This record gives sequence, C-alpha cells and structure tokens, in this order.
Amino acid sequence: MIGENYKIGAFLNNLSKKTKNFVVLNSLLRKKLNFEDFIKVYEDRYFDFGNGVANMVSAGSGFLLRNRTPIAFAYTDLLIGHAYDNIRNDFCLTNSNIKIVGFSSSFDNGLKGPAHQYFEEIGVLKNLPNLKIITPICLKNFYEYLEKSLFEFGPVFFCLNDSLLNEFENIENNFLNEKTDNVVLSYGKIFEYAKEAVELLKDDGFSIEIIPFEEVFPFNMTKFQHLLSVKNVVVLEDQNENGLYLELLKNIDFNLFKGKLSFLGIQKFFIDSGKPEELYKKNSLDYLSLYRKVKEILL
Amino acid sequence: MKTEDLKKKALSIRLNTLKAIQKSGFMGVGSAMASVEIITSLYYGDINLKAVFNVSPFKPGWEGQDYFILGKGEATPVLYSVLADKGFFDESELNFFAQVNSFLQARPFYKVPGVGLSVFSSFHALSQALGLALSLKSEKKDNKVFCLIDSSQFQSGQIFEALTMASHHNLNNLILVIDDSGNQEEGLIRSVVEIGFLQNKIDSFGWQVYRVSDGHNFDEILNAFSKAFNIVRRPVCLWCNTVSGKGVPLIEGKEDYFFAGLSENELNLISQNIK
Repeated sequence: MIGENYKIGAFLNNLSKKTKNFVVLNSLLRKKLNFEDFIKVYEDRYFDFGNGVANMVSAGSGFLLRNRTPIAFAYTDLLIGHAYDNIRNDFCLTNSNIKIVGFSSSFDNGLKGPAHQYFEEIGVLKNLPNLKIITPICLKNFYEYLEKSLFEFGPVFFCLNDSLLNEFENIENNFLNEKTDNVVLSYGKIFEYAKEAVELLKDDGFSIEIIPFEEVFPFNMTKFQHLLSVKNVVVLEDQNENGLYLELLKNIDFNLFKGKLSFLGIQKFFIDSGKPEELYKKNSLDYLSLYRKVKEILL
Repeated sequence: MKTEDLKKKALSIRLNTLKAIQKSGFMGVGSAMASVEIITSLYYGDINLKAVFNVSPFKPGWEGQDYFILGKGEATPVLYSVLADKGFFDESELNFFAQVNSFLQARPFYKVPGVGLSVFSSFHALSQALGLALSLKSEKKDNKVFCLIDSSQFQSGQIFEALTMASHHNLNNLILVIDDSGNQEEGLIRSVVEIGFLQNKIDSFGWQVYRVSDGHNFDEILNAFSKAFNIVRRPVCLWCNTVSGKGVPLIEGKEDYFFAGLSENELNLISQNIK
C-alpha cells in the first residue's frame, strides 16, 4: 500500500535545490507518488503523459537534446510491455541519459492478474545495452540512488516496489562478518521477508547474514568478492531465475568459489490474481516459507 | 534562394542521394526521392529573405538554432546529402553511407554533425519532437521543431498520443510535415491499411492542418511554411502529397520502387536521363 512516506514529489523538490537540470515525465502516477509538491513549485518541469508511456519515453529524448535529464515514472508492466522499443532505441543503443522509474513490479499489481505481474523484468531489461538496473530495498535507498544517478550519464532503470520498507537500513555499513558461513542475497520488496527469515535462522544458531544487492546489473563483482569463502550463497528474489541468480552463475569463478549457490524465487510464469501478501505466501516466498526453505538448504 | 535555384539544388541533392543509396544497397529509393523537395525547402528555402530553418554548420550548439527530427528512415540519405552540401561534413563521406565503419548510419544518428538526435525507429520521431518542443516551450525559447514523417505511420498508435499531447500544450513551435506518397513498404497504403483523409483526422486533434497538394512544388511548400509560422496557439501540420520516386524517370510513380534499392546499371541509366 502507498503510505504517507511516498512523497516522491517532495523529494524531487528537495533534489531541485542541488540540480535543476531534470524534468519529470509521468504516466498515471501523479497521485500515487504525490507529485503535487513538485508541481506546485516547478510546474514548468513536470509533464503528464496519461496512458501514453511509449510516447513519454521517446519524448524524453527531446528533452535530452536540450540538456535536461528526463526522469520518467510509469508502471513497470507498461514500460516493459509497451515502451521496451522506445527505451532500447531512443536511449540504450546510444547510451543516452534517462532515469526511468518502473513502479509496481512482481506481485505488486497482483490483484490485476497475470498480465500485470512481471517476473521477467530484470531478465528482460538486462538484455538492453548500457542500461543500469537498480533495485532499491527501501525508499531512502531509492532516493540516494536516484540523486546519485542524476550526476552520472547514461540510462538507469529503477525497479520500485509498492511497499518498500519505510525505515532506512544503514546498508552501507552492512559488511560481511568474516566468520559468516552463509549469506542471503536479496533486493526489492522480498528483501523485507528475506531479512525476517534470516533473523529467525540466526535465532536457530545459524551463522548467516543478509546482503542487499540493489545494483543488480551490471553485476557488481567487487561486492561478491567478499563472499567467495562462504559455504552457502542463497539468492532470494521475486523475479524468475534470469535475474540476479543468472548473473551470479555467469560471473562467479567457480574455481574460487567452492560453496553452494542456490536460488529461491518465481518458478512459474503464470500466477493467479490476488493480493500481493497472499501471492508471496502462495508461492512460498513469505518470510516463514523462506525461513523453512533456506534452513533446508543450510542443513 | 529563388525557386529556380531550389530546383537546381534539389537535383544535386537527388543525384548525391541516389549514389549513396546505390553504393550502400540501401532500400527505399522511391521513398527517399519523394522527400527531396520537402527537405530542400526546409534547409534552403526562405520566406521574405528569412530562412525557413535556422541552422548553421559553423555554429554548433547555437542557442538560436531550429531543430529537425527526421522520422522517415528512408529519407536519411537525403538528409545526409543536404548536411554534406551545407558543410556539416565532407561530401565524400556519402560514399560510405550505411556501410560498415561509416559514421553515417542508415538512420539519423546523433554523432553525425547536424543531426543532434538519433531516430532509430521512425515511429518514435513525433514523440521525440514533441519532447523537444515541450522542453523549448517550458524554457520560453522561440526555436522551432520540424518533424518529417511518412503518412503510413498513421497505422500505428504512438503518433496519436503525440498528436493529443502537442495539442494539449498548444505547441505552436512544433511543425509536423507529412510526406504522403500513398505508398509504404508493403505496397499501396490503401491496400495494406487505409489511413483515410488525414486533414480531418489531424484537425480533430486540435492541430492546424495545411494541405500541400504538390509536395514537390517549392512555392506551394514555402507558402505552407509561411502560413504555419503565423499560427500562435496550435501545433501545425503540413500534409504534403508526394510521388514515390519523384524526379527519377525510371522509378517515378512505380510502386515497386518505393522500398527498393538501386543497381549500378540502374544508376547509370538514371544519371543519363535525370534533369
């Protein structure tokens, strides 16, 4: 659910104190993301495109020609389903500057049915040249990455979930304890459940830690270097196995990593309609199921 | 430039384009020829001694420049021929158009001097132009944005999103030029998917539409541009009727050549007969 904390308009307003070199393009998220605060002050830098997501993405390149960075907000299913060609041709192929925020991925739009549940989002986006994919684990985490991205050139896609953690986790200091035997890697909405599962496993006496992996693509190998000595790496993602898990498989040197790599995520492509929490549970991705499944892997 | 001079210029652009097309094996010779007078009018035409399109190879990034977004992929060699002639790059580069290692890509590419914005998919062009026009308007700049598309694009949906949006924002700095030869890659538009009478369609979106019944007549094209510049609160569309393969006896009006290439023999034959 969208809470009071989703005042992205207010954040963009604050961001304008640091740089005014961006415009906000929006499709259908004006109310949900509370853009009003931004519009009140910067009406000339806000543009509503209604349902026209493909039109919005392409229009972004026009703003770019005037040296203004477009930040484009839309539902993920529309971006991937309708505007893939636009993202690819107008930005990725030429490594052009755009920040795209895809809202409601995975089970977020569960009630709208299978067409609105994108589990292949990361897998699809990874195919696009030059595109950086960020999967924040909390709202503040998203703000930090978005701000940082505005000062870096190139296309970035943020996968933003409906129900991110409201409280900020100090992830920068979350370094791995050298004596840890087992590690869970996760990102996005499911990070919240994975974290609870890991806490339960710790209570059971397991040597285990959770590491957020919010820079999914391009794969951040330096982040994995610390994990080469652990016995188990479990990837928990509410995507299919073409997401982070596949990147790990492709990038890890198994001559150096002698542990076991496991994947827990979406196993099938057609999922029933339902509330997100119910769908996580039905697909054994709620925190209790994750706790049981990870425990099986560790034992 | 006087009409007679524009005609001479168009002939030279046409020949350079045909050579580039033949050398590269590029498809779309009929389509490209249909756009020659429109693009020539834009880059060389004037209205009461004032240039239609403000751009200069000697002032890259000039704040006062206008913008041209080419959303008709087959007309890319025409644009490149014009840009070479204008001095944006050396004319010899046209020999390598659309070939491996050439910077002259088969579709408008931002690295080509004078192009500015890559348009890899023609269906995106009007939206790209829309974004640019929106940006300029919100920056309170007077620069104009011209966009040339093919009429067959009205078979796709994104164009209607852009038409609606441009009208909503009263983008009088956006001038859409439609090259309507009645042809598309698969044959005659009316035999593929009929797009109907464009004047009424576009007008109903809140645009000011001017019909150019002969899209190869410089006086008529420039007259339409002149009218377009006087519109203050609406985006403008020039709907130009053109002829596929115009100006090239061997292919003029021939449906099969709209999306065809050109052999060396054909080019030689054409070069001897073209006037």
